[in-house]
Amino acid sequence: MVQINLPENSQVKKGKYFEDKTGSKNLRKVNVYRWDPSTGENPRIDTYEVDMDNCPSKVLDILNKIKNEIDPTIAYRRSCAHGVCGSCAMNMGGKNGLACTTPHAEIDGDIDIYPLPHLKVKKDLIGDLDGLYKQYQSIEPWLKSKSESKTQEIIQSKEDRAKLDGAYECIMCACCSTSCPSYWWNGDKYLGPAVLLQAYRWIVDSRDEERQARLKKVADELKLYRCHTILNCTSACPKGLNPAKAIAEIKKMLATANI
Amino acid sequence: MAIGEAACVSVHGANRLGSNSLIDLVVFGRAAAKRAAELVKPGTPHEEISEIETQKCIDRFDKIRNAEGDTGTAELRLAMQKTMQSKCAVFRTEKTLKEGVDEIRKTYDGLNSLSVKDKSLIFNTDLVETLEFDNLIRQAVVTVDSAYNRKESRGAHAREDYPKRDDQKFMQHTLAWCDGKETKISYREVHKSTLTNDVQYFPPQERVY
Ligand code: SF4
Ligand code: SF4
Ligand code: FES
Repeated sequence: MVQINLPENSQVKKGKYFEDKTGSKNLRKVNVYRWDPSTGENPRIDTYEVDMDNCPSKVLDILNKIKNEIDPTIAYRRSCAHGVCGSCAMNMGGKNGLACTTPHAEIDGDIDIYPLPHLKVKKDLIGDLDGLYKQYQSIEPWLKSKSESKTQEIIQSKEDRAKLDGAYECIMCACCSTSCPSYWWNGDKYLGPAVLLQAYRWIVDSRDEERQARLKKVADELKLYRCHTILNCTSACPKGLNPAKAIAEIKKMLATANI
Repeated sequence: MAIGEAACVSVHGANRLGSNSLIDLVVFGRAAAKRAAELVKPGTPHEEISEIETQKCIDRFDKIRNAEGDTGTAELRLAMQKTMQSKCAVFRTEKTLKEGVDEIRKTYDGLNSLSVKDKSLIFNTDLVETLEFDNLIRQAVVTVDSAYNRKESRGAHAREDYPKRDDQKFMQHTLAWCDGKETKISYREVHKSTLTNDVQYFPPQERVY
């Protein structure tokens, strides 16, 4: 059998243990992935005992509590705390989601918190999304219309507007793409569910005049057809969207269109 | 060129909640962008900034990054939030504001015992939050002092001890200078005329519900 070893510096070590100082009877153990690239040390898992009697209901509340009361060095992204900015996406209890909308009560036993899977890590829970944003940029996510009129609105019927439902709500949190095995293996070439859902959003926009060109652009073995309908993306989406369906729609359009 | 709140264009004569920022965005943002496009040639490098100025920024950065005190940023920030919420909320009185003026300075003194635990230079959110606190605490001091000195009610400044608007004394912008926890409060007239004859000047009226 082939033996594959991980490089020495990629092994995650056991980290520090932060014992409770509040004397609370209601404690939970929270294991957090830590890595600081400036130290040259291996990643480690730090464990914090957190007083749950004085902690609101979401995983983000736990992280804030740790940062504010126990260990200010822990790094994670967050902004709105209401599930609309997408910055607090991470892996909690083995599932991708938004820390600010995921109740910790839904996680059994100790709470494991990791960065989104298969991204390069910048620090602690912060994944490197540069690649994803470049891919997003590549689908040119803006309205393309040759109409010269700058003073008139481009009218859209209610039916046409409804086609954007389920796509415009995407907050680009990357929970879906980073749960997709195809994206793990081919993330440099395969666009992945988040970006393809956005591609779809512009393809079906009745006001856009570059539909054919957009379709042609994604119609690529690696950009689109790496999706094998595994559906991890759809079950990961914290906004209840269905990127797998959008990908299937694009494939259908390509199969029936004459491009 | 300044845009947004920093420009303080005083469209309504005073900063009117809700519609000021929208006008700033739509009218003045556009005007500023157009003017900038006329003035600035693409690719022109920024003019040299004097070393005294850059050094000031670096000194502040280093001082905060290397802070080795014993009070965490989160603790001071919470104290600031509590003072502002309980002493300087929308409904205020001489008493609460006076208490706020004193109390916020105690939190300000916390700057001397700040502690920043994360010293790294990559995604250092401990440092970022501390820099933010350093900005906010000064803003808080200026806010309570300005409110304390404005003995009338206007917009979101509802003084329960001075429920009426006092145009005689206070139809003016507050100007505040902040030097550490010392502030100097002064006032500037609001514009009472339009720049063209296309519209007449609208005298301010009491806001009633
Ligand atoms: S359905 Fe496609 S995009 Fe979604 S997880 Fe599966 S392979 Fe990835
Ligand atoms: S589709 Fe859902 S999971 Fe994917 S980026 Fe958008 S909001 Fe996030
Ligand atoms: S903090 Fe904005 S989505 Fe969680």
